[in-house]
Amino acid sequence: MAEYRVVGKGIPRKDGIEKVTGEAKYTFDVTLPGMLYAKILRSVQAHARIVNIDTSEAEKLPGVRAVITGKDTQGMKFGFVDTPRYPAEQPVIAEEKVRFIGESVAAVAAVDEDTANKALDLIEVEYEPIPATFDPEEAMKEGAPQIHGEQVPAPGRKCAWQDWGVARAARSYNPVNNIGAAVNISYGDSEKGFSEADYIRDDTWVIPRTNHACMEPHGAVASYHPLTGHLDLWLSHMGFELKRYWISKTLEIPISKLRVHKTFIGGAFGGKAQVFDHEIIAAFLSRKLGKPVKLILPRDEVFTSTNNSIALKVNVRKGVKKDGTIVAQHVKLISDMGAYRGSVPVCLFLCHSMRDSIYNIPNLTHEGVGVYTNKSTTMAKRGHGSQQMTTAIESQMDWIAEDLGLNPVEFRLKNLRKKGDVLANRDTLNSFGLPDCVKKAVEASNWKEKRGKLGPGHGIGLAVSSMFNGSGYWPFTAGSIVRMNHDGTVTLYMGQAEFGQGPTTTTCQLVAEELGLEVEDVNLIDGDSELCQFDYNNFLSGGMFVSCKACLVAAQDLRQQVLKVAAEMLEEDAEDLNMLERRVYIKEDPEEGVAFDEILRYSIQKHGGDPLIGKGFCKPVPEIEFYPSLSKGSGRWTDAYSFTAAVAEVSVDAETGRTKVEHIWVGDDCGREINPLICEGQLQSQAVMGMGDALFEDVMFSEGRTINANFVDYEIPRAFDIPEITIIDASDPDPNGPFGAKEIGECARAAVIGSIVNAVYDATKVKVDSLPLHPEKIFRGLQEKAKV
Amino acid sequence: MREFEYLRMNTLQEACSLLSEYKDEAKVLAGGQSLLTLLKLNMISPSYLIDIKFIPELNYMDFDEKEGLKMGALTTHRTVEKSPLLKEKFTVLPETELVVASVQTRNWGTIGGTLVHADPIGDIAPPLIVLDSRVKLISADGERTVPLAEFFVDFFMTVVEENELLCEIQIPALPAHTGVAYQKFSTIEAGIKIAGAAAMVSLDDGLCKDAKIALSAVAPVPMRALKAEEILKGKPLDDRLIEQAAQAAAAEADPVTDMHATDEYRRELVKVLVKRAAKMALERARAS
Repeated sequence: MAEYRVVGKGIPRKDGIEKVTGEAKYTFDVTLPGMLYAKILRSVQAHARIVNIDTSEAEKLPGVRAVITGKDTQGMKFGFVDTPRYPAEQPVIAEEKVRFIGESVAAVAAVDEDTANKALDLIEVEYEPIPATFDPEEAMKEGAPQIHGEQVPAPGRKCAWQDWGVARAARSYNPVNNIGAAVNISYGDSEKGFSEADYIRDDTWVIPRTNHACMEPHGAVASYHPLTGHLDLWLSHMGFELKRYWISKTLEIPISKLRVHKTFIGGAFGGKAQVFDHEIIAAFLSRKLGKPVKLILPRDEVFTSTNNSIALKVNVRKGVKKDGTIVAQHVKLISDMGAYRGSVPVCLFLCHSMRDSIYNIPNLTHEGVGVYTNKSTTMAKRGHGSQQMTTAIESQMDWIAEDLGLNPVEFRLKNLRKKGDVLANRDTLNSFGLPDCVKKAVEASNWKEKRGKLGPGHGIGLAVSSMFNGSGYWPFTAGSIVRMNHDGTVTLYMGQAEFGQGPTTTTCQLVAEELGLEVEDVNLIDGDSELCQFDYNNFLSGGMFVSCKACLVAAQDLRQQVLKVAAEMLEEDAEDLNMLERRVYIKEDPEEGVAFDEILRYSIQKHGGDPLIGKGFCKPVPEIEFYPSLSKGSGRWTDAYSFTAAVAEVSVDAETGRTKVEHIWVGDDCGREINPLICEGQLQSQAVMGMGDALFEDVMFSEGRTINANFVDYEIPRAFDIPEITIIDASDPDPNGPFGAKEIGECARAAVIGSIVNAVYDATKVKVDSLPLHPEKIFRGLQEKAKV
Repeated sequence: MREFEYLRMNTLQEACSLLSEYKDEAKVLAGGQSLLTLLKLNMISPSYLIDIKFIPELNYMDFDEKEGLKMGALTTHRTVEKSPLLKEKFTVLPETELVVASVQTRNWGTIGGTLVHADPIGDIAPPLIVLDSRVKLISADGERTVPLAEFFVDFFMTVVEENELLCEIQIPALPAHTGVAYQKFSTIEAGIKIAGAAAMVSLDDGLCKDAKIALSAVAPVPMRALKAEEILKGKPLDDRLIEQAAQAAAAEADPVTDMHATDEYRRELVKVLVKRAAKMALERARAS
């Protein structure tokens, strides 16, 4: 393995000091002269026609500057998916009817928050309730209340995918019986596969919505300049591209007049990816009033009106040979989408594609539907589909192993794909550390001495997962510039937003390594749509593999330019030169060399003023032109996969059913670790988050109303719940990754959930078919077993 | 949240006189860990918030073997948790505090405030009840003391009149050969309590001279499980008897189903928690 100076070093985060001292400025901290405060009136009805909205009393309240309703934003639609087949269908403010409790119905801008809140109380909305439907399987039945009519795009409206030039021709989808999205992927011959199987198992899991629980709630500050037509935005987000595209599209402000400023971001986890009604509303009000507008959501609105993770019922039928060879798999999914599609059409497809790189299954069918219900919408959460599928598939792997008397570790290893395998969609596994992840996690946890030997109430479980490294999505590229400074340091422009995943540190490490600099020599300008280049950002974990790589490519470009000028100055061949400590030296005679600042001055004087600017770019999945088909899964998905094997050890109180996680081991293949400290942080946080999903978290509804929209009733793990966590590096550097690096931010969560589910089964032999593993469920299961 | 007037008190007398003036238009702020949540959720909307947190005469802790413990209403949960005196004399109280929410909340909330808030899921009431605690109430008209076991009336309701303040908690010294223990069940550590049980056992010559059992989160108020106590009293204690008492306590409980658990599960938990608390109390009584 090559030795690097800066890459591979666990240096502290560059943004750490500002964050821990409170210096970091979040959207909430942005205050502008003359700023107004906006609040949104939310629907209290799950499904109702809006008969009338009387805003007159609210408008009369002193301090109120504007009250808007769906009439003001008539026809503005947004969505995460906006293809010819699935046109965006969510109104910015509800128009003729409301479809969930928490949907925006009106908005107010006033001189302060209290006045805005008072004004909300004065708005009279007359609803005419319509029968609502909350259960996807009920909603699919003939005669169920229909939440959407035919979704015909407005005449002349182009969908996002058409704007982006990646749309396939398709007719718009007409929801029948509330089915608003469908996926059907297959390869091999499932029927034949099952007919050859010696053993078939069929299991179903119900996975609820969980919340992203970001420390920073969602919010926006918008400032429109009437004279120039420019709109400045500060948002809590994961990347400026999708936000500015959608705000530009809905408000018809030219995209080049719209600037998303850098803000610190207190967590996102997928839940801040799409544009939201409150962001468009803040911008709308600012334009209407010519004043800056701040709109910060209270925590309950984050729960009820943004989005939670995707609720899925997962049915898996699997056929295996006696020796444990998997021959066929048939998956059926039903997603409880909520009132609008959110990211469900993508998730249904990802449920397959995130798992396809793991096991070699010759005959496979994967079908699923997304069903509209009168509930809040759903969206990606850290692993987007992987954890729902991993729970179902990895628990079934253990149950099959038990039924056939196979060792669950050997059973998995036997069916794993191999390095170099080409998937049905032509993705190639150029790196594949998964077998190593499994072996190392099993070894570190002392699995062989523990599995089945820990005694009653104690168990250990294993699960594996995988994750993309970016995919084809707007704007389909990441660009970067690295510029030489007067003193021989450099300034790097990176579009990627820092929301905790670490690029403000790791990207500087890549650039410093390439240019022989220290990390402190790399000045960073990031996350600003006006200053930075187009950026693919972090969608589907493309941060390192795509966005950071673009920065490395820019540094490589600058390196070549610097070497060329230095070669001229030193009268040597560029190949005989190297760079370190802001200077270029002759490899054979390191004392001989020229400093970067001298090189810069020379270049300016002798090369027509060339100030040495490196340019770089990177495309996720470079060789394809189109977005993969969501409904058929065809087309390339990603350029590399990351992998995790997690082992969890638990104890379960036999008298109460309560699970305590004792220890989690995470074996992870993230390619080369650019910064082991950040890698460890990412894996620990995924272990904790996964534990929350497995044991505690469930956004609960009663007649469409979220009943635990706060952190008292919605319980997430806190410091004292966190077990011992051991991180194990099992990386297989990828030839296309920057210094071989792959993603580390999303893969592990799914494996951790699966490992806890399997450990609880090992401890109790209680089969549960839904998450979370609430103590009462386990208690009931234990009681049933005692009766038998 | 509705607008209210915030009034910061410096003396007990001032607080009592304002309370007799404003009565039910006022709410007493004694820290705020619970009250501010209710305000934010619009569950209460007082016109006046009378802040007693800075009244020095309500913040003290005195103990003597005869009189027992006297603790000002403003004693914080964190003070109880860290008190060397309580660790020695009433171990169960600092132990209980370890499962009361988080350090931040314990630094903030007061014992008096928690008791008057009267949330049936509160942790500190059951051990105080089995310790035979009384609370002193004061008003412009005078003062009275009430046994804590008779203090709670219904969900979030106590015997405190609208002009009264809870000013002191009194705990008699523990008799010889007495053990006390508390058991809580929540899904996450120190999370929302699904059920809780405290037990006190006093031994005399191998027999159970006295026993008290208090339950929480399984009825509208923190409650004594009197039938369960009767099963234990006057008898030599063993696992079988404790099991019987636990069954009786589960039958006495009056739990509801909510988003956190069903009523049946809560009853099952009462069995487990009473059993565990009573066994621990018994061990402690034997060891003391």
